[in-house]
Amino acid sequence: MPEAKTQRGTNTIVADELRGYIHRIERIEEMRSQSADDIRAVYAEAKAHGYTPKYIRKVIKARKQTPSDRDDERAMMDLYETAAGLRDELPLFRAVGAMSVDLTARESVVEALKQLVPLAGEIVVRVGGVAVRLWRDEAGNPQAEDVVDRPASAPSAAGNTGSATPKPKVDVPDCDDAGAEELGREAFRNDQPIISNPFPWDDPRRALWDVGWRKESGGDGMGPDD
Amino acid sequence: MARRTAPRDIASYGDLFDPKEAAEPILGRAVRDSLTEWLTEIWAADDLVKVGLQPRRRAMFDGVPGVGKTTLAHHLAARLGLPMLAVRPDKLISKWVGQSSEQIGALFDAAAAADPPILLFLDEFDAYARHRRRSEQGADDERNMIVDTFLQRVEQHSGFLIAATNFADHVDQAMWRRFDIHITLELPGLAERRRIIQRYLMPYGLPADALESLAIALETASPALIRSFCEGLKRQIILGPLLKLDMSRGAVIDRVVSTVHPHKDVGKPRLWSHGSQDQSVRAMPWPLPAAEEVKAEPPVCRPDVAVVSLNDRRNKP
Ligand SMILES: Nc1ncnc2c1ncn2[C@@H]1O[C@H](COP(=O)(O)OP(=O)(O)OP(=O)(O)O)[C@@H](O)[C@H]1O
Ligand SMILES: [Mg+2]
Repeated sequence: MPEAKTQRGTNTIVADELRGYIHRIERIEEMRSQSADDIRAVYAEAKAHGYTPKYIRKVIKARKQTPSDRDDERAMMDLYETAAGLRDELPLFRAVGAMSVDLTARESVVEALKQLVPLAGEIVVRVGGVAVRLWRDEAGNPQAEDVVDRPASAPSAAGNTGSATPKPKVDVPDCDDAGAEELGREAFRNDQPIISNPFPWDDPRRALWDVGWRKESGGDGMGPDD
Repeated sequence: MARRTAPRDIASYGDLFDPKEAAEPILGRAVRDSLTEWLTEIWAADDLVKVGLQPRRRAMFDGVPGVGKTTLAHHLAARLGLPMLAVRPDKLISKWVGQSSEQIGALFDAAAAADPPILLFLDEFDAYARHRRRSEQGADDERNMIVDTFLQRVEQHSGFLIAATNFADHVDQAMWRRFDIHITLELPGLAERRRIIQRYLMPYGLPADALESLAIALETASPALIRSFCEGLKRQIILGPLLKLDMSRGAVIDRVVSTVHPHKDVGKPRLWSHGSQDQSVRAMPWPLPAAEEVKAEPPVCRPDVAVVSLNDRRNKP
């Protein structure tokens, strides 16, 4: 059907234009189905090499999310699965268990729990029989504080499971030398800078924490090697 | 008399640097190794004392402006967990004859008395410690007296002391010997420049080849200059559209290059001679992509710990 493109007064030009759009869309759809075939082919290839497409799909989906979306989703899944009885252990304690801390020392468990405090929100857990509240201060640093069940009426009864000692303003972890080194390693793993050493300048554990951080990073605290 | 005997607050002698606010300087291998060695030595003090030794406490850093002398001293103080007091000559040198020595004495006394201890950082040290001259006039007498006071006080000081200078060869020999560690900070090499660009361009990033190309075009630039360049670029990206400026790549680069200047004592990097015509500019994707879009290397795998949140406790107290 021959068409005169210059013809006016009819809708031929409009029809031309519309056909143009339709052709373009069809071309793109064709490309899309072609790329869908390509994607399927890649999955098939991965499968032939022993990978499971289902998990690859999940990873690809996760990569499209922002890291905080991802963390939130995981945290909520943990919570729901635990509540629904799909898991027999609270995710919190499983995570602590994976962090190689001395589970018999209350302070180190609290220290480990601090790493798990969500950015917005707080956790209250019982550790060693005493409830402890964990939250983040304005600077985003995790803080821990024992929760006193009875309202301030009984001001720190001295014999109170040892946790009622007056806390100094900066919390210095209560641990031995090996513990200090381990805390340094852990700080590196948690992306904390080498200058976040919690021990004061004259505490011999300061050096051990620094050594632990460096050992874990394989560097000297001044960035990666090139 | 009464005026100057009033004890001064330590912070009135200079700027106090908080250990929590330090950054990690990006430096070459040799400098980093010297620093790690010094730290190890300081922390091994108890063992050294057993064999009758003391860890070294006084270091001299030299290097052209903006190579990171202050940044490195601050980092060291932070590793030790100490605040740093940075003192510049104008805080100590007085136009009144005889007063400078007194000020210096008072500074060292205040530094020695500080609790917790402070790391004393004497910036632009060459300003006082130039070669002593045979005195020909009063001004030289005064200068020699300042050097003598320093010689004495530096030697007696029991705390950590770092002096910084842009001109190592202007420093008096006797003074030089009072410092037991000398660290020369060189201009950054290619690998360091790459990392410095990456750090200060954040949250933008460059793909590997463009990054390499820019790092080459910035040869002889100090870290401080690279920082200003990157920050100038980011400022243009944000403000340019508001000011309705030409936001083409070449125009933006030319504006940044013409407003950020290398220190007159160091050479001009190639980018400053070629401006937007430089090949590194042609290699630069525009608009600048976000850093996470151009991950040059695969991300490091770290053990992942799930974050747990309790949805009924979302609000801070
Ligand atoms: N090695 C480096 N790595 C990262 N940033 C650096 C480095 N050196 C300098 N900078 C940045 O450049 C700026 C100036 O650095 P700094 O004050 O430490 O230099 P300087 O050598 O003390 O210079 P000056 O002689 O002018 O006092 C700082 O804000 C710092 O952030
Ligand atoms: Mg400086």
